[in-house]
Parts: sequence; C-alpha cells; structure tokens
Amino acid sequence: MHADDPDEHLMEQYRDGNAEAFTTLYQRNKAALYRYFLRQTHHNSIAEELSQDVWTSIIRARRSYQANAKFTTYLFQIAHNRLVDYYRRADNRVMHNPVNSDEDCEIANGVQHHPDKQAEAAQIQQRLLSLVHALPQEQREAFILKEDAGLSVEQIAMVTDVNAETAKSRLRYAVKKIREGLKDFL
Amino acid sequence: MNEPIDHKHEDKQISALYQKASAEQPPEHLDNAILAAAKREVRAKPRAVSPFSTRWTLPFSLAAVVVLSVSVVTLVQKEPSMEATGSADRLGQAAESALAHQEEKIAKLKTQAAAPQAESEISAVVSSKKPVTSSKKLQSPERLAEPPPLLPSPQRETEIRVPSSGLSAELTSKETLADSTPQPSEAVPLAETPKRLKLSRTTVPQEPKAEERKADIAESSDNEISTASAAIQPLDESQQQPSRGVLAFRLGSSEPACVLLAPKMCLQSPKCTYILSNESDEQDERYLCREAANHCEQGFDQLQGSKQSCESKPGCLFVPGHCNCLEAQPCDCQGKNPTQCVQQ
Repeated sequence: MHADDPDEHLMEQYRDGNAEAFTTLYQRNKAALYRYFLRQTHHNSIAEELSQDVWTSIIRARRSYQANAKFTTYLFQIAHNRLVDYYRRADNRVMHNPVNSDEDCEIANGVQHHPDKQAEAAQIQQRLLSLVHALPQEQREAFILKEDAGLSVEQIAMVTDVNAETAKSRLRYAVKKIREGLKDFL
Repeated sequence: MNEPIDHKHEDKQISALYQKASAEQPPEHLDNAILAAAKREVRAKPRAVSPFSTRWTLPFSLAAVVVLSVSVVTLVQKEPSMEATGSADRLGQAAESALAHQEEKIAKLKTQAAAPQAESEISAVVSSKKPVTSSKKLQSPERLAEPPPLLPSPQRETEIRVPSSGLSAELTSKETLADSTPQPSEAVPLAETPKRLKLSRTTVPQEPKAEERKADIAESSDNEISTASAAIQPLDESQQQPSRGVLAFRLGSSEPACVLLAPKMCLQSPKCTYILSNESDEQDERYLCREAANHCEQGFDQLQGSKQSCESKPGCLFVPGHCNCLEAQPCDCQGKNPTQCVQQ
C-alpha cells in the first residue's frame, strides 16, 4: 500500500481485509466530509453524527464495493442522501428557505460593520464563510462539493442527482453571489 | 471580452480564500470511533452460511408437514374410540347413581321391614327393574366399556335379610367373586329364623336385542336386573320357612319366585300358595304369596281347585275362601281367606 494510491484502490484493499488502507482513505477524506455536513447543518454535533453515519455505512458495505466511479463521488453520494434524510426528519426550514435567517444575514454583514477590528485576511475568510452560509442550500452544496471535495461539475451532478447543466448553473450562481459579497475585498 | 477573464481570476481568489478559511477538522474521538469500527469489521469473520440451511430447508419442511398431517389424521381417527371410553365413564357414573338410588330405597325398606309386608315391599323393589348389583363392578369404567356377560355368574349373589321379629330389618348386599368366599359371619343363622331369599343371576335365552345390549351398557344393566327379578327362586327347600326366616333370592332359575307373582297367578300356581297374613294392618298388603309348604298346597289351584282334588291327597283339608278374581277385574279377596288346601 502506498500513500499515493487512489482512493478506489484503498477502498478495494479495505474490502479485501486491509484495515490500514481504510485508515489512509479516512485520513484523506474525513475533513471534506465533515465540513460538508458542517457547512450544511451549521452544528458541530450534527456534522459529527452525520459523518459517523456515512463512514459506518461505508464500513458495513465494504464487501459490496465496486470501483465503478471515483471514491469521493461514492462517498458524497452517501453523504448527500444522508443529508436529505436529515432534512426530511428535522426542520426543513433551511432546505426550503433560499435566504437564510436574519442571524445569518447579521453574521454576513457584521464584518462589514467592523472591518477595522480584525485582521484583513481573517476578515475576508469570515466574510467568505458567511457568504457561503447565506447561499441557498443547493448552491451551497454545489460550491462545497467543488471546493471541499474537489468534485467536477459532472461529479457534482452525479452526487446531487441532477443533470450537469443544473449543477453548473447552481455552482455559477453560488460563485457569483460570493464574488459580489467579496467585491470590496477582491 | 475582459469580464470572463476577470471572473476566472476572481474565482481562483475565492477558491484560495475558501481553502484557507475552511480548515475545520472532525474531533479526535470521532476519528477513533470510526477507525475502531473499521478494524472490528475487518476482524469479524463473515457469517458462514450453513449448507444445511440452503440444501435441506425445503425437504425438511415438507417432511415436517407430512409428519404433522399424518399425526393429526391418526388422532382424528382415534377420537371416536376415545369418545366411547368417555361414554363408558358417563355410563358408569349413571349406573353408580342408579345403584345409590336403589340402596337408598332398600334402606328405606329396612325401616319399614318390621311389618310382615316387608316381603311384598322387597318384591316391589326387585320388580322395579333397578340394578341391585354391587357398586364395585359399576365403579370400573373398563368393565362397563365391555359388553355385559350374557351368561350369569353363579358366584354373584345378593342377600336381603329380614329378621322375623318385625322390629328391625337388615338388608345387606355383597358380591361373591370367584377369588373370594362369602363371610359366614355376615349370614344370619337359620336358627334366628330370618326370612331369606337369594337372588342369583340366571341363564336366559339371548334376546333379539342382544347386539344392542352390547352397545348400550345401561340398557343391559336394566335387562339383567329384570331377568334376575323374574328368576327369583327359593334358596333351598330345606331352608324354606315362609313365615319366618331369611328371604333369599337366587338368580339362576327360569321360574318366577312366588313373591313376585300377582295374586291371580299365585292362586293358580301349583308351587305357590296365596295366604292371608295378619301382620299388616293395611288391607292391600295383608296377602302374601309364598312357596307351597307341604304336599297339600303343592299342585293345588286355589282359584279353580275343588274340594275333591284337595282331599284326594292324604291328610289334606279343603278350606273354601272368598277370593273373586274375574277377568278384567282386580283379584279381590275382600280381606278374607283365599281358598286353601291345608295339611291336617
């Protein structure tokens, strides 16, 4: 097993009983998955719970794994389904409210009101996260899958179960909104 | 033309800023938990699928169904015999109840046996065709399930003892089996002059309903008793003391006993004598049909016998009576003596 083995190969090794392969695989993808849930749910505990559910599902289904696609696509497909299930069970306000709560808007505008109290870089990063937070759920998901998981438009479309044009459109709108929000910093 | 290029540059800036801003990592306990679960899953051996479960499941199920079906059918077929056994139990209880009723009636007679008409009462009880058999037999369902023996057992007898003193009566019932002998102490000596009759089961011709009797135990019991009642005869000629002694009814004779005969039949019977008894106050119960006590009474027809036919025997005297036994009318002696041929 090499450190530069693709994720699919590592998963196949784990399927065949190599636990160390899974450790490497997990270390590569754990942060992206965790942040995916964290950006969508805005709660650390929920992000931890959902992340554990996804990894547990992969562990239990290791015998049936087939490397038909990129592992990250497989991983975030499971994550997307789990997130949808979470939205269905929980208050779906976030799911159907493209514009987030007033608190989110305050957070997004807070940096603008006190630009001189923080370092400029930190101000920009905080501003960026606030803008991402304020995105509609579909656009936010597309943006996160691109930036955190490194998926292409086609892979995003596969994960979110939409066509590529829709995924591309969501991603374009998301970036446009962030760009407009960071106009003063860029 | 320049706008897309600017946007690409801005998008790269946004992506770089986001990578710097998005640095959250899952907590360490979550990592440990997930990695531990992954290792446990690898160490766990796959659950082996037993070849028996796949290869023999269907045949075993079919065999079990067949065995259960056969068992159920067998039980259903055996159920009628079980019901017959249950019927035997119920019949046994019914017969036992009838016996208890009979014994209760006999006990009632004991209190009334002080009068000389006890003999007629006893005959009435016996003629009621209720079972006078021992309860020992009736308590056994197995024996009741079997058809009752058509041929009587000479060892079975029932004794009814009535002391002649008239003040008290003792009626006992006992069953003498082949492996047991009657207790001498239970019998009243003849010197005490009790009236003794002995009932003994008789051999009777098999009736057309014999097959039905095998199936119906209760009916058979009644038939046995009726047969026994019709076959009462004196126990011993030497022990015959009609006025005093033990009334013994023996089941074993085809001739009816005198005590069971109607007045008219008793008057016409050559072996029985119809006499007037003075031991009862009631007019209807003052007459007694007993065995002919001597050669004068034997063979004498008290209804149509003439003085010549009586006195033709040596030492005999014709005593005219007053009995009127016309056809279709009750035999009435009007409380007076019937015609008798007495020994001088």
